[in-house]
Amino acid sequence: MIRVFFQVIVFTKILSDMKFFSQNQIKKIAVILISSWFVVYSLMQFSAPTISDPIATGEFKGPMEVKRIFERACYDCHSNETKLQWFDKIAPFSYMVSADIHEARKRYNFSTWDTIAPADQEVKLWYMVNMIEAGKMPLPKYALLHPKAKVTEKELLILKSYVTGLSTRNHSPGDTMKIKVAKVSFQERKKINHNMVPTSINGISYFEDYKNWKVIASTNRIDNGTMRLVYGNDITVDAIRANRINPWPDGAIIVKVVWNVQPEDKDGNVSPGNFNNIQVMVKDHKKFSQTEGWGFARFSGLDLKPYGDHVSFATACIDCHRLVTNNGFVFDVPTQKTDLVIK
Amino acid sequence: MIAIMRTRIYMSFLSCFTIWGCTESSKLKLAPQTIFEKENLQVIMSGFNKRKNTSTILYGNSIGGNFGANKIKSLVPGQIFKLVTWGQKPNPYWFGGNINDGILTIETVKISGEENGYVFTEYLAKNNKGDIIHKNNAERLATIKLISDRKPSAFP
Ligand code: HEC
Ligand code: HEC
Repeated sequence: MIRVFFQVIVFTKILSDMKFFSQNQIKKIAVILISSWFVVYSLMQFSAPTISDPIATGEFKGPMEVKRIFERACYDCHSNETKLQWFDKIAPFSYMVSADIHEARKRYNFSTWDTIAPADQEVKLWYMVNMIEAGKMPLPKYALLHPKAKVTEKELLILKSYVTGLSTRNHSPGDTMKIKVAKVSFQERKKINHNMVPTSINGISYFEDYKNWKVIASTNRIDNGTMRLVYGNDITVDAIRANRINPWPDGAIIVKVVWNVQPEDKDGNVSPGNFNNIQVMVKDHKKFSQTEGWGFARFSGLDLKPYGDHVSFATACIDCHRLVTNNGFVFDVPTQKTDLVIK
Repeated sequence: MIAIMRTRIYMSFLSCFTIWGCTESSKLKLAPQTIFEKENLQVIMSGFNKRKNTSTILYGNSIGGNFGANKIKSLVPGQIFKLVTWGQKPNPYWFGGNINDGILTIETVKISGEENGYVFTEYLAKNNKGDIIHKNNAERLATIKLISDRKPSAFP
């Protein structure tokens, strides 16, 4: 809307530069355009949305220095304690702001933090740190008008050390349970189940062929105490070789196998513990156009229970994978650093 | 002319300002050479070491039920194992994650024969350029021990 206002001014400036009209005509056109803009703009104010502030219940509890950062940078949108600036309440900003707040509170709300399960709280906190690091939060358009909301490098370090400490406490004991193995092979189970295989609600079925594919990455995470192998089919590997990953070609399939980690041994070696889950990404730009062309699936536990009650479960998958839009939404691609040669 | 250029700059500034922040993130170069050419081998188990900053995968061929649900533990002639060691670095795209870096070594162990309960092994180590590298006896034995003690990763 404000842009429209400037465009009106720019437009009249162009008109006068082109000398189609006399100075007087230009003035008249400008007056008409600007006053009609003003009328529309004023009308918008009456219908502008209001933002309610429901009472905060089980609020986020963390170290004061951490909470203060969130309060200043995130609470305007991700809590019920929204403190808007005068210009946030003026249309057209008020429309954008209220839509953002609505969406932000839906994603997570610091005021009702205790309604989130502790394990999910941890996941969210890491998500936050990574969103800040990627420059995606606080929303850039908001940060531009609210420069004080920006998170400084030093503050980001505080948040990083907070989440690292939290996860180290939660996961360093490692998986000490007896490691369960599948009693019969997947092929045998398939026979027993009359060829039925675990299938995600969006139609992606579990398959075994990835075991014959190349491993494109081997990763582990302190944020959830797991280690993973990421397999790619030939189309995936060829796309990496040809540097054609944005977008990835249709037919690319990536499979990530996740294990819990066992406690470190005396030499620092860490081995996989129990099998945790398998996650799949299938590229088909037509079939999965809702989620940037990638179909997502997750199968948990040795019995491969499909995750998600509704196809929309994949929205949460792609939302986070948008952090790596430049990689065609794939995190674990092999990237260059210095290659060491051992002699 | 200058006026039009000025307005262009002005407008692009404005659209940038009003529509979305002007964010752009950099892209790292891909390193396909870190993908191991496993040929007909499959993963038996993986591991990593934070102190050494390495990650490893033990691959094996299918001889002697090396993979599948009912993996056997004994070493039998014809088995081939490859222990691949990569460097490890922080995942550039996710704070909190580590990801393998370039290949450091590929150690190949072949079980060539068996006599009176003893197995014969052939050992060969190479670097990422394919040059043969010399490992001392202790290092060779450590790898062979890792292979004979192997605990395959649990796959569904
Ligand atoms: C101007 C409002 C606004 C502010 C301020 C803001 N966010 Fe957000 N946030 C959003 C909106 C809108 C979404 C959902 C759409 C999107 O991701 O762009 C979101 C999504 C997120 C998500 C994804 C959550 C999920 O489960 O999908 C995270 C994490 C997040 N924000 C963290 C933060 C952090 C941390 C801060 C403060 C440093 C912050 N946000 C400040 C508006 C905001
Ligand atoms: C909060 C962020 C987040 C959400 C939500 C998320 N992922 Fe990921 N995903 C990641 C990160 C980070 C990696 C890479 C790190 C790793 O594997 O160690 C990854 C990796 C993957 C990979 C391997 C390919 C790649 O992109 O590296 C697959 C497959 C995958 N995720 C599937 C899923 C599925 C299916 C869902 C939804 C059920 C999902 N993800 C939801 C963050 C997320």
